[in-house]
Amino acid sequence: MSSNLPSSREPKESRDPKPSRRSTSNLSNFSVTSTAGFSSIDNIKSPVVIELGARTTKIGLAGDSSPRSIFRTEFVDENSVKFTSVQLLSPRSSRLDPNGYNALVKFIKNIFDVLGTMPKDRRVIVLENVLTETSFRVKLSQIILEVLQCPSIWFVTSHLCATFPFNTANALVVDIGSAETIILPVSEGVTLLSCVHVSSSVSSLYLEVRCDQLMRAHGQRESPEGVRSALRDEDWRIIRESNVLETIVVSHCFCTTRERALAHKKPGAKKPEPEAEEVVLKFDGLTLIVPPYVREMTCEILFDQELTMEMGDDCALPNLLHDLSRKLPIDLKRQMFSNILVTGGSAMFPGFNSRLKEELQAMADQQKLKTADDVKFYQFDDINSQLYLSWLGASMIGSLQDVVQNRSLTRESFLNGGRPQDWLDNFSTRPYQAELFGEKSR
Amino acid sequence: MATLLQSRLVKYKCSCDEWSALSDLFYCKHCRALKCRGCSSNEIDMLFCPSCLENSSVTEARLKKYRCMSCNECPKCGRLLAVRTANEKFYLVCIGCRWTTRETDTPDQQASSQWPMQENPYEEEIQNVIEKMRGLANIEKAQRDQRDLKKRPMNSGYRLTDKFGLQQMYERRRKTFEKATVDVPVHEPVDPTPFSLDFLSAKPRPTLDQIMRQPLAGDQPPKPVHVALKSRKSIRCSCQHTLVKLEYGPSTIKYKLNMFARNFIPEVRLSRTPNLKAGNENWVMISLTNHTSCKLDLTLTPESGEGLMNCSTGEIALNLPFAEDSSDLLGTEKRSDNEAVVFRQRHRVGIRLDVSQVAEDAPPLGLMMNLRLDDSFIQTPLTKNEETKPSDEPQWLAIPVRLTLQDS
Amino acid sequence: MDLPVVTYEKEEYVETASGNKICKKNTIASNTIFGTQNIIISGKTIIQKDVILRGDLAVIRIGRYCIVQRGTIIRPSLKQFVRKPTMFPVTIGDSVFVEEECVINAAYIGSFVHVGARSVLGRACTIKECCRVLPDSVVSADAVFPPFSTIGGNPARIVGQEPECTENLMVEATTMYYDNFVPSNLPKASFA
Repeated sequence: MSSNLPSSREPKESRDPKPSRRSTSNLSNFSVTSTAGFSSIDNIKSPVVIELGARTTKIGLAGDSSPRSIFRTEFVDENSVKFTSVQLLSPRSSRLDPNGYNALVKFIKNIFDVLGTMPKDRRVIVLENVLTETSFRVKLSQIILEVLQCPSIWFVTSHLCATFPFNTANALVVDIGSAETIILPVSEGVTLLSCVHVSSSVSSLYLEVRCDQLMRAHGQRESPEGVRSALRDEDWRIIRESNVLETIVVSHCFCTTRERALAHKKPGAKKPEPEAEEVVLKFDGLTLIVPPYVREMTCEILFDQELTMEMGDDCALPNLLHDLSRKLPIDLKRQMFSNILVTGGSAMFPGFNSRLKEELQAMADQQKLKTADDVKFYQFDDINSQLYLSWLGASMIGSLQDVVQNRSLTRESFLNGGRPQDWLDNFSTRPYQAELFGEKSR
Repeated sequence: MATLLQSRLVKYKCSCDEWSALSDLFYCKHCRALKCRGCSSNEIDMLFCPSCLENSSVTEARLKKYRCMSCNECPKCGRLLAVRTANEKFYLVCIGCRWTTRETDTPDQQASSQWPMQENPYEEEIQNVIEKMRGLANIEKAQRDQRDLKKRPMNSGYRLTDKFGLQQMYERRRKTFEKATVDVPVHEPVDPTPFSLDFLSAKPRPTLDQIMRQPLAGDQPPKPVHVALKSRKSIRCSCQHTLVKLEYGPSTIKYKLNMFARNFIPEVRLSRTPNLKAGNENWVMISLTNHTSCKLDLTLTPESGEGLMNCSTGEIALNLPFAEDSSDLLGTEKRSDNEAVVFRQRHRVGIRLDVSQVAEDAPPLGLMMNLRLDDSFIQTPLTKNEETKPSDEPQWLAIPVRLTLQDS
Repeated sequence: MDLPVVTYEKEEYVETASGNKICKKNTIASNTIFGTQNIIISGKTIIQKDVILRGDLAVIRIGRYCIVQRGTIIRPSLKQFVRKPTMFPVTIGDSVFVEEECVINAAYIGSFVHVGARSVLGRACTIKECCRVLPDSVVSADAVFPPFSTIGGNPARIVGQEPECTENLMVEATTMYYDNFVPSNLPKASFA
């Protein structure tokens, strides 16, 4: 592997003024270090790493092995007006949406409050997915550099960061988020951006929509005497207010085997044994019964192509992966399937990885491909790492001072008109030229 | 209270062109302007635990990972845990959801503070990878420096010590020497955990809130979560002078420095709920209160403009005594009152403004307050060398005010 | 908005020498204030109709310029110690505004606190100075809240920060309320 960091495609941000060194000779004690005291800041304070997800925000200091705090991407201001994550993360400019802009400013100020640190002293590393709108990046840079006066900002690709904790240079990173799923292969430390695949139906948003649909069809309520009946409209109000669907999906749904799912789908077929247990939930006076069918079949929206096309008009996960492997170069097809890295909070279901393997192999068998013979996953067991894996990778690379210093957009350059560079800006058309900073292109 | 007195209905314009209520504004004597939370900067004053109210310095906090060692929260519901004793050992109990530490595998502890925290089992592995990345970063830096060194002129001031350029050649060669990188193995991909019939059971997994509170718990029984420290702030103007600073101590409410705007600017308040109907002549009663410690001289001019209520009252000149002013008890001062002033009580005046509106919903009412700045408003220069402002020339501070008449 | 004039029937209220105005004629029971020897009210405090003060359980201390609106219950709580259970006294600071129908089992409410309507302060909880409890919130037992916090929700959490000048605001509001709390048959030419 080359001696460069797997930082390919990391846009070359406007650099800091270099430390002007005349000589590293031991005889010289005359080395003028960089201006603006950045090295003194770097020596003491590690950068703040922020991941603004569509459902949860992960924050902490670089160098930590888990985020200091994870909370929902929501904001309630002093007039008790609630802002959802869609409003906070919208790319609309501040002129069109002054309330949303102010809410985002306060949200980020709140992040620094939770961390107990001053924005002026801390460099900021923000995780973003490759499809973030430029206007949102500029908006965020403006808030962090100009309004909060942080010294610098660095946007890192979340898919690349997810590979760092596993110390791997080859992975098929599948990020199953709240709003959408984005799949990006990374090979030899290079993000293969031409093969990025997106699906909006494979997301926790659609998991909740599916759960809603199934609960309306099969869910029941139990009266205090024990009589079961269908759910009523006022029950649905309680379900909405107490976020019950999220609780059902996160705590009680699981991914079943392909065999069982097919048995459930076939009309009139025998239901698989043993049956999952039903779950009784009590909320605010309502006793809700979640039948086993709902528990088992909600996750089908992630795997069943017919269902995803019908509900969200977008591909299911196994189809997405096979589409992607068709676009990959021939030497990488098998390798990518043996190196699948699943991240994202919506992938924390028990049985998820094994079901994905079954589906990939079933599809490969159907199409007579050999690519899915050996499907393996990168996983950290038992620490809910999927929720913050990218954050962890960014924290790891954020603890390297030189790297952060050289790749960040400083406050001065932003105020002088500099903008965070987009990954398309540094496209090198000479495929075998390796620039000093490891920027390769594909 | 802000909500009792509904002070959010009246907004003043800060020097940064933002509108805020008087309780959120501060006055800087040096800049002679109003400052709001947006244009002033906050500074972390101290870090403290919100439940035991014990403060800690920044270095201490960093060591303890910004958490209080003595206070714990329930991982299930987030309430504070209570300490119980049994056989001279301690265990923790949640009053709300009845969770106890006995449900986890940690035994009862000898000391009630410093309860063991959840550790990350992959911590060491991750630190090893960071070391390796550090090695790679050093190589990158060496390459970059080498490139830079090439650009530098060869003989830069070392003629005396470095006659033949040998030292420099040696240094350049030394830099291109690649450091050996630590060889850390890849965390290999594995076969997925197979489907197990345990998944079918009704045993609940943690909810999203519980996962967010303690992500490292995973599927194991959760441990008590240490309470996160909160920070207390002091406010500083952009001219680097402190505006608000509390005394030392996490539970104090006394201020070392408190330049609240209400100590300098009179407060405008709606006196009664206005009864507004479109088309008719209505009136709005406002009251102006002087909370400061000196007499205030001001003129109030209603503004009628775009987006503002049409007000027909003219300019009102006022002389507001302060709360403890005893000068007019003697009845020496005769005030020629404007007809708009309907009420006067020590440090408060009530003013009636005649408004008329065309549309159904009332636009905000705009006022311009012109305040004469006397010595208490200005930071008197400490040395005589600074240019002294002629004291006979009055300085005026213009503050636009907006009142929301109708809750939209 | 300036606080309006609130009138009361002179016969229903007792005005003490220190300026306290306590309602003696209640609608829910003939006597709602128990254990008056254990209740210490510093002065210029208003206790409105149907307020239950359980001084028979433990000492209740209320500061100056406090306002307790109708229907509130102030009840000292029980604290289970190792050897014997003890009743915790309730201490309320100065300029505290307690709105209607609250249930207060708290051990300590600091000065300049505004407790919203229908909120429940759990057993032995501590609300420090200059806080605000939002209406309909339920503060869990033994909770401690630092000064200047806005407390809301069920279970109650810190949802915001109060302005720094809360002390001045509460003093002004409570003195204004006290000054405007007048008997109905007294002619008062007041505008505000």
